[in-house]
Order: sequence, then C-alpha cells, then structure tokens
Amino acid sequence: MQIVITDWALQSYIKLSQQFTETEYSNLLRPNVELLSDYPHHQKFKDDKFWGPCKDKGGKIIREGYKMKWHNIGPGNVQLRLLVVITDETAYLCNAYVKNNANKDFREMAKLKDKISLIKEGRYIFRGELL
Amino acid sequence: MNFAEPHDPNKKNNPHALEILIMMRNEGIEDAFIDCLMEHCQRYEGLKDLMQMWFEESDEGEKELIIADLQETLDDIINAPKEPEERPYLHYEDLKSIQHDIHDFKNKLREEVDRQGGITALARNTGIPQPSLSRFFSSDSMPRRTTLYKIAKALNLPESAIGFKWTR
Repeated sequence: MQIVITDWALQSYIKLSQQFTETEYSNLLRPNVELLSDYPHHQKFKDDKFWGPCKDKGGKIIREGYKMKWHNIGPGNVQLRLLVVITDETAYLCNAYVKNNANKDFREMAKLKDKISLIKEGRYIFRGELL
Repeated sequence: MNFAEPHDPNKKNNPHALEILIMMRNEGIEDAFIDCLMEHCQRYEGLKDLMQMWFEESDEGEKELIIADLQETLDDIINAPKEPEERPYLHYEDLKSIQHDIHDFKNKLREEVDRQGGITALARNTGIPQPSLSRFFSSDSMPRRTTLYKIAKALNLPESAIGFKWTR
C-alpha cells in the first residue's frame, strides 16, 4: 500500500507538533503510520482502540474513511486522531486533530466526507510519500 | 437555486439548506460566506452535515467553531487543484522552525489588524466570518495566499507586507 502525505496532513502536523514529543513521534506515531504499508494484514488494524472506520454524527459509516487513534499523548495527555482515506490501494493521510470532545469528532467527520470527494476527484495536494 | 433534497415542512429538526442559510444571514454572518456556501452545499455532503450541526447547536461557542469549519471546507473546495498537484516535501527537521516563522508572521499581521479596528472590522471588510479569522490568527498552519490577499485588500497593505514564504 502506498502512503500519500496530503497537504492537509502536513498542515495538521505543523499545527499539532507541540502536542507530542519528538520521542513519541519517532518511536510511536511515525512507526504506527508506517504500518499502513501492510494494511489490512497487520494485527494492529484489528485493535479497535487503535484503528476503526469513521462514522458521521448519525452513526453512518463513512466509506473509505478511517481513524488512527492514540491515547494520552504528549505533556497534555491528549487524545490524538489521524484521519486516513483508503482507496485504490493508496492510503491518503488527511487531517490530524486532538479529540477534546464528541462535537470535535463529529465536525472532523463532516469535513472528512468532503476531503474524500476531493481525493476521489484527484483534487488534492501531494506533499510526499511515507517510506 | 435548486437544492438536492425535497423539503418536508413537517420536519422541523431537519430544515432545508436554504432555510439554514437564511438563519445564518439573520444572525449577521457575512454575505460573501453565505453566498459561497449556497454555491457548494448541494454537492458536498460534509458541508450539509456541518450546516445541520450549526442549526441544531445552541451553544454560541460551538456554533462559531462550526462556522470556522465551514469556511475551512469551503477554502479546501475553492482552492483545490484540478488534478493532483505535487508540492515540495518538507523535512521533518525544518518543521519546528517553519512553525515559529508562521507564528511570528501571523502575530505581526494581527498587530496591524488591531491597529485598523480589530477582527470584527476585518470580518466585515473581507467577508470572512469572525470565527474563521480568529482561527486563522491562532493556528500555526500555513496561511492560504487567497486569504492573505483578502486581508491585504481590506487593510490596504502592499504585497510586500503579506509576502511570506510559507503560504499554500
């Protein structure tokens, strides 16, 4: 599986970089994201505390949208989420955010729906590949 | 303008998109933003979801966050390239200093905004809702060039004042 870094992921990274330590980035976050190259075979993708499908506010599954989850990250012990769109054998890294309440999650789900549309139309900015 | 779903007047909790747009206008949200939302909300389901959330929300702070998310999505749609566009990779080691540059640039621009009447006046003159501008100045993500041009025009600033290398 190819892992594409979109501009949304890059902007999220710049915005959130103070939420996690460099050690967490090197030893946890990045290695976890690299597991996408072995999606869906790696055992971690069966762990619903780490990985799961995106659902909108009405509970409807958002096709091709997934969440990678980390708990108690950084000095603020935040809940970090990375949204990933998987389509055509490619994983597109999209927004990352701190989940501080359910409403934040619902808003991010809504925004992801339109990012999926843009990705499927080829209307996205490519900032590199992981690995 | 035609909207995708037929309106059922009995469904008070699920109003027509047009009704939500009218409510937004009645609450003083900028016309340019509402016009843009009207143009795109039929096609993009996420925009419609956010509009519904805005309608259902009673907390003013939450409503402002939704408006900022709507503007963010509109910016994504309007500025999306016609085909995948490759832009240079940024090295991990450089990201922290880029973040500092962005932070400093936005702080300086914010000082100019405050000298010229503050965020409320800027919202009125750019057509960008106030919650979006507040998010723009408080976030360390790269500013969009299109947003900087609107701000420059509203503040009557020359290109040199908004010339910044980390834009998107």
